[in-house]
Order: sequence, then C-alpha cells, then structure tokens
Amino acid sequence: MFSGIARFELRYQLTGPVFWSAFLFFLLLSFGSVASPYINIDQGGDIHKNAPTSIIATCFMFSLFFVLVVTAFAANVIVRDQETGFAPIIHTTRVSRSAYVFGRALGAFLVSALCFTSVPLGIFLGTLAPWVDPSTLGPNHFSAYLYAYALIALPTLLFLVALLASVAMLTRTVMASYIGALCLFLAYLGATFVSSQGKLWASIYSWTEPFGNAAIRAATRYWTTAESNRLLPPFTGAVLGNRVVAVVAGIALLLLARRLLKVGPRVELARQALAEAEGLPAPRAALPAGSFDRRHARSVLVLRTWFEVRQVLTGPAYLIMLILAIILTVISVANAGELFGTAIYPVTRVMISAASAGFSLFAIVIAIFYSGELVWHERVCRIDGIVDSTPIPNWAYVVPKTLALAAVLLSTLCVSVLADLAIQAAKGYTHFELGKYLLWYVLPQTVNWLLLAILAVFVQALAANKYAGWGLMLLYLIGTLVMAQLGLDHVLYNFNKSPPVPLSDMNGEGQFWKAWVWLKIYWAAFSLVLLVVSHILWRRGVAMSLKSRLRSAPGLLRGAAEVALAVGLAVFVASGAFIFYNTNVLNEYHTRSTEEAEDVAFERTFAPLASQPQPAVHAVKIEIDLFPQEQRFVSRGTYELVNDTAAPISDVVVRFPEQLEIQSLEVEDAQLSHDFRPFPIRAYRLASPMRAGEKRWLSFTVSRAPRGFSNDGITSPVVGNGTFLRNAEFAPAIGVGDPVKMGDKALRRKYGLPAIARMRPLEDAAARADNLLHADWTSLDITVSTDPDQTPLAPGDKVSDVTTAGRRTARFVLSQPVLNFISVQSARYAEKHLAHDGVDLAVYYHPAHSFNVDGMLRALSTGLDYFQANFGAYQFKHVDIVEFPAYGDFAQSFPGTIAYSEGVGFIADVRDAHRVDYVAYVTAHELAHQWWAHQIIGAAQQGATVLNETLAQYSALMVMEKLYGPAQVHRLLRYELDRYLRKRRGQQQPEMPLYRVEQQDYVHYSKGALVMYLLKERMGEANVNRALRSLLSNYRFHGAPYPSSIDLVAALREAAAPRDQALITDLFERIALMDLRASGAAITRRTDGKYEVSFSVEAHKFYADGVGEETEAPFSDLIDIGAFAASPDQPDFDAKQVLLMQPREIHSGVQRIELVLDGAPAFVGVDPYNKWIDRRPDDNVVGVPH
Amino acid sequence: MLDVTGLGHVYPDGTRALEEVTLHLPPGMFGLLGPNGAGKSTLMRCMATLQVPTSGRITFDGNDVLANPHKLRETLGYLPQDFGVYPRVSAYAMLDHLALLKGIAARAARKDTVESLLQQVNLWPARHRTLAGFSGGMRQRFGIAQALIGNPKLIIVDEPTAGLDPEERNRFLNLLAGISEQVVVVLSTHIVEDVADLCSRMAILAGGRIQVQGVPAELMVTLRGRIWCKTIERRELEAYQAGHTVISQRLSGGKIVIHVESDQHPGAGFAPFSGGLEDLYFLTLRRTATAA
Repeated sequence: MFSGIARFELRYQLTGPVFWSAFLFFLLLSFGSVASPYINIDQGGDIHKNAPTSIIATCFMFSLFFVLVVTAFAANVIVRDQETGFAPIIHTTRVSRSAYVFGRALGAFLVSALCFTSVPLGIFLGTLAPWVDPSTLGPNHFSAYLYAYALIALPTLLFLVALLASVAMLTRTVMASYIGALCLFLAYLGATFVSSQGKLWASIYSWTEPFGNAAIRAATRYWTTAESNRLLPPFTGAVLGNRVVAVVAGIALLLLARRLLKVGPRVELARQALAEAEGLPAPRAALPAGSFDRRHARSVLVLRTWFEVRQVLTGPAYLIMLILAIILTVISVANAGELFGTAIYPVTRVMISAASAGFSLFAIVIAIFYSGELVWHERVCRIDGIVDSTPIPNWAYVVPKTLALAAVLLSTLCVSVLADLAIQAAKGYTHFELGKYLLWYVLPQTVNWLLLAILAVFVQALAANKYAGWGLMLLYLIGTLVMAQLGLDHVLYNFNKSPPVPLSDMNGEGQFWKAWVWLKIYWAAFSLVLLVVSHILWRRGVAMSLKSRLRSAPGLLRGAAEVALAVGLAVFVASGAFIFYNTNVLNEYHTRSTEEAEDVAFERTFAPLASQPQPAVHAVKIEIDLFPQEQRFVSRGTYELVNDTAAPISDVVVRFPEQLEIQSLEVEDAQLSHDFRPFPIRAYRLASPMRAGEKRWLSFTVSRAPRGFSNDGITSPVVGNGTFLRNAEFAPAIGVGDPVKMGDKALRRKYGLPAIARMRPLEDAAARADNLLHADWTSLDITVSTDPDQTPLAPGDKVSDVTTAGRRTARFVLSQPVLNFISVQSARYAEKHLAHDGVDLAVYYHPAHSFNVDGMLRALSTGLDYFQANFGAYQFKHVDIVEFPAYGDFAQSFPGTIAYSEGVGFIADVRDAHRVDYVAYVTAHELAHQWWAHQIIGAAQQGATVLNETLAQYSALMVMEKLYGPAQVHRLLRYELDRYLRKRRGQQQPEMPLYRVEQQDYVHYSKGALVMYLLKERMGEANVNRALRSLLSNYRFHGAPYPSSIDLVAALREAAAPRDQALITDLFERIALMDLRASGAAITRRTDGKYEVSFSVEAHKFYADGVGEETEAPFSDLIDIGAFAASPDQPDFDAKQVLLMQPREIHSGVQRIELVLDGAPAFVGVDPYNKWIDRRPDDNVVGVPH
Repeated sequence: MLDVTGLGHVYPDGTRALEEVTLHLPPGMFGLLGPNGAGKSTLMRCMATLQVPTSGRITFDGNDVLANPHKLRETLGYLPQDFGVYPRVSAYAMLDHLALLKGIAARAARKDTVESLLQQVNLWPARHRTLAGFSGGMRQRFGIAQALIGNPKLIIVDEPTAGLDPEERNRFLNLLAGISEQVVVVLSTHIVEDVADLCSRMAILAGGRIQVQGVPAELMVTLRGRIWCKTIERRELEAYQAGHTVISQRLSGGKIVIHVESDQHPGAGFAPFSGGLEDLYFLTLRRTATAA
C-alpha cells in the first residue's frame, strides 16, 4: 500500500509541468555554472569548476533555490486532494494514516530527488562544453558527483520534503507551505548571522544547518588548491553528524505530522450569506448600447490595466515572488560593505547598489514567468472566447498586460525599498533618503523593467504557446550571457543595455546619467515598435497561426498604431545614430579581438625599445586647470631631465596617457624622430646626445575634455564634485613603460608572444636600476586651479591659495626629493585640522561623512608619534587625508597626501569596541607609506612590495596596538590569517615565499602582517624597529640601485638573536605552515588550593610549494601556552581573563603540557592568539572539563 | 441580416470541418441543429469572428465580417459552448468589466446594465460570489447575461443548454425567447426540443454541410404521412432494422418504440405518426450517414 502510494505520486508528478520545467531550469543553471562565466559559484582561482568542493558548493547554492521546487511538490502531494475535491474519496478508503503520510512524502521526496539530478548532470554536461577553458577543469570524478548528490543533497531534500509536507498536512493550504519555505529561509539567514557570533554557535550551526554547507565549509576552509581539486571532504565529524541530524529531523517531523494529521473536511470560513435579495433593482426596459469613442478607449485602458494588475497581485504566485524579493534583498543588502567583520553606516548609495545587483537576474526571471502568465491568462481561464469577441482593440490586451507586468516588477522594487529602509532602521541609521531611492533606484529600474516587460510580452504574443514563449525568453537570457562572453558588448545591439551609472555620495550620479538617458530613449523607441507589432499580431480567437496573423496585420496598422510605429522607428534610428556617433566616432570602441590585436601590436612595437636607457625626471613643474562642471582639464608643465646613467643618451621617448589631446610637446635640443600613432608615444632624437649627468628640459601642454560618452560610459576623470587625478592621467612620462599589456598565458601562446615572468627575479641585479613605481625622485612645483567653491589639493606645501576671476588657484611646492607619483584632487570639502608635533594633520571630507574624521586624526597622530620615534623623521609639514568618490574602493598614499575613497572607511561603523576599527588600520597603513614607499622604495623585482606593503602592515599593527591594545590586534590578525589561507587557496599563480612575493596581495598584506607580528613577538619590538631604522637610514630617498627584500631580511637577521635565524628563514624564505592542536585537557585541585592542569599539544610543521603540495619538516621552537578564564574567541575577551601566558618549547608530534595555576581555567591552549600561520587555527584552544 | 456564403474550413491536420455552408439568417431565432462533431462550433466561431475560415464569406448587415471583424464585434453577443472564468472575480465585477469592454464606458450606464442583467438572469442574490464557485446553470445564466450586454444585434449561443437540468434549461430558453425580434439569435444545439420550442428558422448541420434549412413547420410538412411507429420487443429490433428505415428508437416500459420512414404503410402493427422535428432530425442524420 505504502510503496504503491509513493509510486503513484512519482508517476503523477513526473507527468506534471513543474517537474520538467524545474528540471530544465536547474539543468541550464548548473550547466551555466560551468560553461558560462556569468553564473559563478565562486570557489576562486585555480580550483577546478568540477573539483569535488566546487560540485558540492554548486549543489548547495542551487538547493537553496530548489526549496521552492520542493515546496511545489510537497504541497501538491498533500493539498491536491483538498483542491480537487478528491479528499473525501481518499479519506474514506482503507489507506492507513501512516501509508498516506509516508507514501505521499516518499513520493514527493523521490520526485524531488529525481528532479535534483539535473544539477550534477548539468555540471557534468558543462564540463563537456568545448568552449570552456580546459585549465579550469580537472578530471571528472564520478565519486565527487555521487558524494555531492547522495551524501549532501539527498539528506537535505529529505529534510525539506518532510518539513514542507508536514506544514502542508497540518495546514492543508499551498500558501502555508510557501510561507513555511519563507520561514525556513529567514531562519536560515538568522542562524547564519548567529553562527558568526562565536565558536560555540558556529559549531552548533555546522551540526544543525539543514543544507550541510556550513559543515563542509568548516571542513575544507583552508584546503589548498591541490587538495580542493583532489580530495572529497571527509564524511566524518560535523559533516556526517549534520547529515544524520537532517535525516533524523526529517523522519521525526513526518512522525509528528502523522500524529497531528486531521482527516475531516477543512472548515471553511462561513461564506457570505447567499440570499441578498434586498436592493433588487428594477429591470430596465432597454439596456444602453455600446459606444466606441475616445472616452471608451481611455476607460478601457485604465480599467483593464487595473483589472490585470489585480488579477496578478491577488494570485498565489505573487506571494512567492514577494517572498523571493525580500529574501534577495536581505541577502544582497544585509552585509553590504562589510570589511574585517565591521559594518558600515548603511548609506542609501550602498543599499541601492547592492539591491540593484541582487535584483538584475531576478527581474528577468519574473518578467519571463509573468509575461507567460499574463499573455495566456484568458486562454488558461478559458474565457478567451468571450473576451476575444468583444469590440476592444488589440492594444487593450497588449498595453494593460505590459503595465501589469511592470506593476509586478515595480511592486518588488517597492518591497525591496521597504526592506532596505527596514535594514537601515534596524542598524540604527535613520537618515532616510527617499529622494535618492526614487531617483537612483525606483525611477531607473522602472524604466528598465518596463522595457523588459514590453519585450517579454512581445515574445509571448508571437510565441505558439506559453512554454515556447518561456523558452524564447530563456534563449534571450542565455543569449545576453553568451554575447557578453564573446565580448559583443556594444550597447546598440544588447537590448535594454546602457553604460553603468556608478553612484557616489559626493558626486551623485555625476554625468553618467546622460548616456543612460540616451540609451533608454533608444531602447524605449525600439520597445514602442515591439508594442505596435504585438498589437497588430495579437492572437485573437482560435487556431491563429503566426502566418495567418501576419496576413491580417497590415489591416490593423492604421491610425495611432501607424503613427506610433513611424515615431518609434524614427526615434530608434535617430537616437541610434547619435549613440553610435558618441561611442564609435567620438570615442573608440573595442571588441575583445580588436583590443587583443592592439595589445599585441603594442608589445611588438615597444618591446625592443623597453630596455633603451632613458633620462630621469628630476624636477617637475605643472600647472593644471580643472573645470569640474565641464569635466575637462588643461595641464601644462616642464620636466627637468637628467641622464642618470653612465652612458650618453641620444633618444628620448615620451609616452602620454590615453585619450589626451597633445597641444604641444618640446624637448630641448631635439627633433621629433618618430610618432608612434595611434599609440600616444613619441620619440625624439637629440641633436647632441646627453652625456652622463647632463640636464635637458621638456615642456608640454595637454588637455582632456569629455567626448560625448563611450560604450562603457566613461567620459572624463574630472567629475563635478570629487575629482581625483594621478599624474599618469594628466602628464607624460619618459620611456615606453611596460610593453606587456597581455598577461594571460593562453592568449600569449595564441598570438605567438613569448612567455614572460610576472616579475624580474630577486637575483637579477640589473632590475635594481628601476623601482616598483617606475618613478624618479624629483622636486615638485604644482599649481592647481578649479571652481571657486571647490578646494584644490595636491602634494606639497601650499605656498599660495587665491580666488580671482571665478577661479581658485593653489600652488604646492616641495624642494626635497619625492617620488614622481602625484595626485590632484578637487571637491567641495569640509575640513578638519589637528596640529600635532609641528605637523598639520588634516582630513578633507564630504560634509555628510563626518563619522570617522576624529578617528582618522587620532590614528594619524598616534602613527606619527610611533613612526617618528621608531623609524625616523617625517619629511613633510602636513598629512592630508582627502576623500574621493566610490568609483574606486581604496586608499592610496601620495607624498604627504592620502587619497581615501568614500567607500572604504568614511562610512565604516566602528562604534562597537569589539569590532576591528579598520579605519584606524587603513589610515595608519597609508600614513606608514610616507616612510615605506615615500622614503624607501623597492627595486622593480620579486619581493619589492615587502618593503612598502608588508612594512606598512607592520607599522599599522603597531599603531593599532597602541590605540586598542593586543586583543584588537589578535582579532585583526585572525582576519589576515583567514584571508591569507583562503586566498592562497584560490590563487591564480603559484604562491611565492614572502621575500619573493610577486605583488600577490594575500602574501604581502596578510601573510606579511602575520610574519612581522610573530617576528616582533619573538625578537622584541625594539629589535625589529632597530632593523627597520637601519634599513631606512641606508636607503632613505635612495635612487638606483634600489633596495630589495634581501636588504630587509639582512637587517632583520642582524638585529635578531641566533635562535631566531631559523624562524626568519621560515617566515621570509619558505612557505611554512603549522598545524597546532590542543586536546584532552584535565584538571585536578591540589591540597594547597592550586590547580594542576594538563593537556595534549600536537604540533606539525609543513613546507609547501607554490601550488600547496606539503611536506612535513621537523619542528622545535618556543610557542605560547595560555590558560584562560573565558574563551579567547569571545568578542569581549580581555587581558583580565588571562590566567597564564608563557612560551614553552614545543616540538613535532604529541606532547603533554602541565601547568600549575592559582585559579581554575575554563580554556587552555597552544598559540591561542594564532600568531603562527596555522592551517587549522580553530583547534588551538580546548575547554577544560570541570 | 446575417449571410453565410460558401463557407468552408479545413483544419491544418486535414479535417474538413465545414464545406460549402450557405445560410441566410433574418432577424429572429435561428436554430442550428447537429450532432457532436458536425462542425457547429467551428461555424459559430467563424460567425463570432474568432476563427478565419479557409473559404467563403460572412456578411452581417452588409458588413464583410471576415475583412472587418471589429465592426461586427461592436454588435455581437457571444456565448461559447464551453467557457471558464477569471479566478477570484465576482459575477458583478466580471459583468462590469465585460460591459466596459463592450463599449459601456460611463460608470452609471454600466451599473444599470449590470444590475439589470443580473436580475434578468436571476443572479442578483449571488452577484458577489466568485464565478469560479458557480454551478453549471448559474454559469450559463451568467454567460447569457454577458452576451446581452450592450444591446447586441447578433447573438450567438453555442450549445447553451448542454448539462442544464430541465428547470435551468427552461429558464434559460425563456430568457432567449424574450429577446427582441429585431435581433438575429443563432442557437446551436444537439437537443431537438431547444429548436422546436424556440426557433422561427432552423438548419441541420451534419458532416460539415447544411443538410436542411427552413422554417420548422414547413420542413415538417414533408414528413406528413411518411412516419410510422410501432412498439416492439427488444429482441425484435435487429430484424426491424434490417427490414425498415428505422430512424429512431426509444425504450418505453421495457419495450422499444421505433419510428420508421416509409412512403407506404410499412406493415402490421405500425401506426401512422405525425412526425416531429426529432424525426426530421434523425431522418436527416440517417440520410447523411448513408450518403457518406
């Protein structure tokens, strides 16, 4: 009986549309996750798309969405009887309650399980797609698919079916099941949040989370690329436990449902009384006849739209969609902008950007689904005969249905705005900017989605049936992805596409909205044509093939329709021509292949010239006029060129930034010998060669003004408020620069270019002739003029600042050498100054971004004190932090000036003292660059970034320790450790030891911070600083040969004790990883009242190669042993809870540690603060049983 | 008023649904009688502008319906054979919406129309219930109400009485009968009584062709003296079928009453029968079947 019911369910569901459409949908989605770069289940870098962990992650991601499919199956299985009125028949049969419950649920489980095979199948098929880059794939392991499907997905599905079927059984409505699914999502989100609040929660979560993802992630968190590609996660511990919990919970739910199941008819709410004879109107002798005038047309438009909207909004699918909209908003917005676990003030700009990104695909899916529902609504309701024979024109279908679809889309938009506002309020941010929501979000998305709705309705109007229409729209969706993949990204042939409109609190929508408007006019005109075509080809009556509709279409093209078509076509062509003029005539448009060809030509032309010796720039004098409102600048300047080489120089090569107008260029005593047009590079032949040490001058005038708009929307780096220019954008440079623009290995092979090293090797002495920034030490004299209401800023001491004739002009001069690495900024700033130790500390900021200005000043003053005391004098009279718009999310140090994005610290919410104050961290880091970059700069070879980034990290950590104490630093280092371990897992190129780092940020920032902090703990702060000071004094403002990481290591070795030399080798010259583990703690109280605590420590050290293959090496060194009254992972942990902290000699293998303490500890551990690079940092501390 | 000339329709799969159908319909009730699958609905849909026939012409009041369907729709009331309803919409709201579609734009006029019709079809007490919950009879009455909106000049009702109980059917036919004589009403049915009770003119459609058309009484004249009836035992039926043109048979008290067509007295036990429309219908069907 039981298996019969299940079999029947399976057969029944297999014939339904849900099964097949879901199967196809998930097949395509998972196929795309491998075969398209646009559906990306990010595992990072070199992890194969069919690696076991990737397959598991993809299955997990899609199982989240699959919940809705399971809901459909589970609810249908149970509620079907109720809805079809078959329930009494079922309930009067001899079917036992158990057979009914378990049989139906088993049926739903089987059909869900069968449907979910589409995911592994889709991944597998994706690996067979011929266009997928084979280097992103590994061998297909059947066991990996089986593991992901059978061990991970099936228990999840069982739990989901049980949960949702139970809800359906108890409530007997479909809606309740969907609400159940919603609650599951919300609970999942909530639990995910709680799990980040501490180790205990995380552990509970990884055991109970119904998708099994948390446990898998915990088990594989720090796997190397090699391991991820090869290994299946061990099916033990939390992974096994979690799956068992899911299955047991599922069965328990069903048992519970069986007990609670009621079989009688559902008691309906008492319906309105039938007899309502009162108010019976007198019958009319004659009914009014219809009249078909303008007024009727208007009423039809309004009321029919209202009718369609109501039909849609009261439908059951709509609720599901709103649920999805809320979930999507919360997922994409809740943690937006978070850095180092520290939240931001949820400013409207961030909310909008995050919500827009989350909604883009969702809107298309809604449009696809609802266009089918709406266009075929009459037919599905079988009322088409009545409605189609009424005297309404075809547009009375097309327009209201389109508007109804737009209304659905818009209501999700409104819901997402409400959700955004709720999230803002929940985070205590009450500066609600409804105007921005309207102008930056609701309005543009309304236009976008209205056009999308028109397309979707058009497609359905033409399609032979609803499913064909859905299929066509799906093809459209895939088509857009494929086009983008092929680099066919021109806005003129990608429906509804427009250049991006980046948002900024400082600069609003800038000028970017103009291109957007033009493109929307263009696509709106096209959509108008689609509307007219939908109108004349609308299907009315039965058996109307497209052919027969085409025959009668010309007859319908009369009056307004004809005018609309003509207007649509005219505007489409005219605006298209204007856009083409902007994107392809005024600006250059590159397809991927023309771009590649250009890069190849560039390298072939300039590679031979790259090694030609060139003079250095020793004095820079520039006047730059900014016109923010016109987004243009003019820059004039003079360089003093000096031959720093030993040999005479007879040719000077000058390169310009792209897209500049070169008004004039003159090199003293030289003639233009070659203009490399179209490349902005010119060669000059000197009449008499420059001898060693000889000087010449060069002068130039260049300008840049926006030329309309380009395909990617970029017009000019000068913006209305918040201009940030680097000299690479407004001034020429000497030499051809790096001729290599094509880095991708496969592409280089394809074009026959030689393989290149990422950086020149550390042993290459010739590389020390150039520095990392390719910038010379120079004096500086820069004059910036701008609009009178803006503040012009540039590196240097301000010697004048006058406003005359509607221009504000400021001049900045530095006579001591600085790197020719200059920023120019201008905006309407608020400013705050702090005089500290003779230095003017200043923050120039957007007036609404005052949150962290004081914190920045505090970090600057603390940093200044520490760095001056320990490294050497500060070279300027001021430090300026200058905010710029969030067109980039970074901070960057220029001489005495720090350009600081509004997206990276100004809106951080650092009020919670238990969270990392990364504003101070970033500020101190950038200040440290005034020493570690602007006083000493590494040679352009491996390891160069150690000298600026790693040392800036160390300096910033020291400032953090002064500001917040060691606990905050330990917390920060945990993030750095996590980032290092995670990113080395997703690396593209082999990992290098620290002293050979090739600009890999996870090595020079994250590992660098860990290395330096551990070294400081071992060598002592004073010794490390002594080494740094000696390095600095040797190379301060030093030209070629520039220092390298070898100099740093030598300085450290000199300052270090003999016992620390091996550690320096491991930290800098090797990739060394520890595995430390504490376990088996025991405690006894002695008669004298003291406690004897013992626990086991297991230690291993591994050396890894570039791809993460490890070999164990013997280890014996001092490592901290700690005993604590509370877990050191607690957010409010502080020094008072430390009972003991002392280094002990730890060696490879297992050893027993014994401690005698005055108080009873709750936790003991080895390297409890994770100062060592430990691949499993979570098991260093163990609880002490009492 | 409504003229159908040489109408033919072949479905893409080759089915010939209509062949050379020519009809002339003056104002008044016109009954289109035919068995299931005779092509009635195809013909009705063609007349209701919902299907384009492969050949032939339809004109109404001088308007070429196929060339200009929109003009006919302005004066058309159509009740399809089988129709559904929008979910979650009450009878009142639906009628109101359809009234709007049929050109009653003014709110007050729509209110009058809807209320009057609801009352006429006796759905007033149920006006706020959703249509989806209506019984078959109520739904048919709603169907006729919507067909009457806006004083149509052509009303097409396709098999309206199928599935109605006798009382419902009576009420429905009464409604139809009450419609003005100035209007063309086309009623298709496979129930002979519907036509007999109501229609001033009629046609019998079988095998896609019009077999007979005219005024029912005149058509019945041709049957005079040619229909005979006899009550026989059930086991005798086969023998009679072999020997006579049996046009109908029905059970009566455990025996079978057969009607036989014959120019002469067909033999012992047969009594002359003043043939009804039913006999004409069955006779026509029988002839079509033998001809085919």
